[in-house]
Amino acid sequence: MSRTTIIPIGPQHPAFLEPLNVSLELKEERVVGATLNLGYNHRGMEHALSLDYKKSQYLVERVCGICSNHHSAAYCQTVEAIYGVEVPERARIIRTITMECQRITSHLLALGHIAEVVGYENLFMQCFRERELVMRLVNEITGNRVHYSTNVIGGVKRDIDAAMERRIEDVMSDLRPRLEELHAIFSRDSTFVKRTKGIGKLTREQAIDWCVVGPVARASGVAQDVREDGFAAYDRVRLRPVVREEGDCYARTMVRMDECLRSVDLIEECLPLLKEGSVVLSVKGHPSGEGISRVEAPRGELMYYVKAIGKLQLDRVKIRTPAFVNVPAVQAMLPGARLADVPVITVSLDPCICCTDR
Amino acid sequence: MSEGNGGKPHQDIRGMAYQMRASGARLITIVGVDRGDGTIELIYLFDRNGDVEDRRFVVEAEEEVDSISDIYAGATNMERENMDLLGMRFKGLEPGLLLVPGKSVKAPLRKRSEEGT
Amino acid sequence: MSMLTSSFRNLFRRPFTTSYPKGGADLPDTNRGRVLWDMSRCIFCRRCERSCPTIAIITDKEAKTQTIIRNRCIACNTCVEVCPTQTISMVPEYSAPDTAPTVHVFSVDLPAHQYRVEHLPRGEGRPPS
Repeated sequence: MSRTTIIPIGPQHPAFLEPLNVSLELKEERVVGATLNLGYNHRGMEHALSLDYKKSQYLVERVCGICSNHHSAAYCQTVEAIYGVEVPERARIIRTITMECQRITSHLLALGHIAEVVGYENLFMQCFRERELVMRLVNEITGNRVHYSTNVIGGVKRDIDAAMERRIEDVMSDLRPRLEELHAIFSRDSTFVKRTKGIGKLTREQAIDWCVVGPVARASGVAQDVREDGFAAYDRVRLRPVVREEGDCYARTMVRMDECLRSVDLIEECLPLLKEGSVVLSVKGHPSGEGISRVEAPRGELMYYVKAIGKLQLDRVKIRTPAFVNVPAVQAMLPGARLADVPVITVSLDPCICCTDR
Repeated sequence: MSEGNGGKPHQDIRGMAYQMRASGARLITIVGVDRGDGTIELIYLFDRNGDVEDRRFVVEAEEEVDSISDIYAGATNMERENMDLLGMRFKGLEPGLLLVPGKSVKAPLRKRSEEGT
Repeated sequence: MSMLTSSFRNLFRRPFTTSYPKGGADLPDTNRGRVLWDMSRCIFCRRCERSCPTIAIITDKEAKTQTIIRNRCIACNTCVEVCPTQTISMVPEYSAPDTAPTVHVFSVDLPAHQYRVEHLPRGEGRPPS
């Protein structure tokens, strides 16, 4: 038997939330080659973002629905760097808190998604139940569940008052045992472990070759986390990046699960840091110059490049989203895998096609 | 961010990529900026132990540029993205990652004389 | 702990979900649902119209009306912040779904926060291409 079969998976597939096409070359049940096709969701965001730098702070959130706050934080950081202004400390801490809240919601979505693909609907519902707590908390903090619209150039729009601080504390102490319960299920449940352990391996060398970032890189033993740069208020808290060596679907899932618990720690650590002060700084004039800024989005390093020319329009906005480098790495993971494991491997990368195509 | 080397000839791209790969740097992305005079500035951004380093090259828009996709596998899509959005050419790569060639707008991020964006 | 014990415990817990149309959506007071105008204060300075990122607001100085295209509004709070006379406010409730694009018209002859509902033909209300 030397003939191979080509099987397309996607752009519409029950396992994928978004349009993504993987063209698989199969030899009996084994994958021997995979090609990724993107672009089903391309909206020309980079062009649209350069039309008006002030209105773009709302449009950047619409690049992606699950890391919207990270997008606007990265964009505002870049424009602030061009202006050369330092954001008030209170605003930076509030940004950190909302970013970590969004990391929990995003990771719980990814965990629920992989549980669903493995065939574990019950666990999926459990993940989304805990996620709802954070979604409601964020709605109270910022005024919206998905697109917070809270970051503006120069700070944040809405302050956190003392009552809200207590509310965040309460939700976090309520959330911690729930996340620990989820952690126990994910790490020990035999159904889940059997479907993910040793599946879709990405070695350390491959991880560097494919330039992967975030939980995917950290699960393959590459200890890189942009939060160590100390943007926002990350220089004030104790970061302990989660790094695992196995590089399989199980490792990627467990990195996300551990990071959820670390995020709860970080939010609790941030709250006492809040000192009186203003939360927004007004900037004058149009920006001029070039700026690069990075934040650690839930899926990994998110980079913005902005070139401003002293006008309302921007010369160039370039977004390097984490999914843009993580998703193509399936081409390195799929060869050798069984056909039934393909959805699990793809979903373990937490693919966000909205981000990838922009 | 370092100031870079202000636009070396593009024949050095592969040598630079080899050097960066050997030093353990991670490629962040390749930014293409249309300078408005028929040339495109290619900014290769690297992460070396948490610091962003940039290497800049200026190429003619219609020129065929050396691909570094065999040095960094992840660079393939970054280069193909620049091919689609800026209408560049990279050696040995096909366009059509994000846009369908022939059906979509050609090179939407290229500056046109009538509009300033 | 395994999923089995967790599932059994869930059996004896109260349901987490709410019966939404009957029970309310559980929105906090700070939720940004939709924008309302108090037209007695409006000075027609057009600041909200100019600052709206999605071009959802149309200010008509002659007819003394403020029109908002609901489908375009992203509830970003910008108009509330730029308003010099605190005419605009946000309420937590979302506007009701409809079969055609909805337009809310606020005019001076209506009481504060009251509006007239109009509809655009289907396919209208999209941003200009």
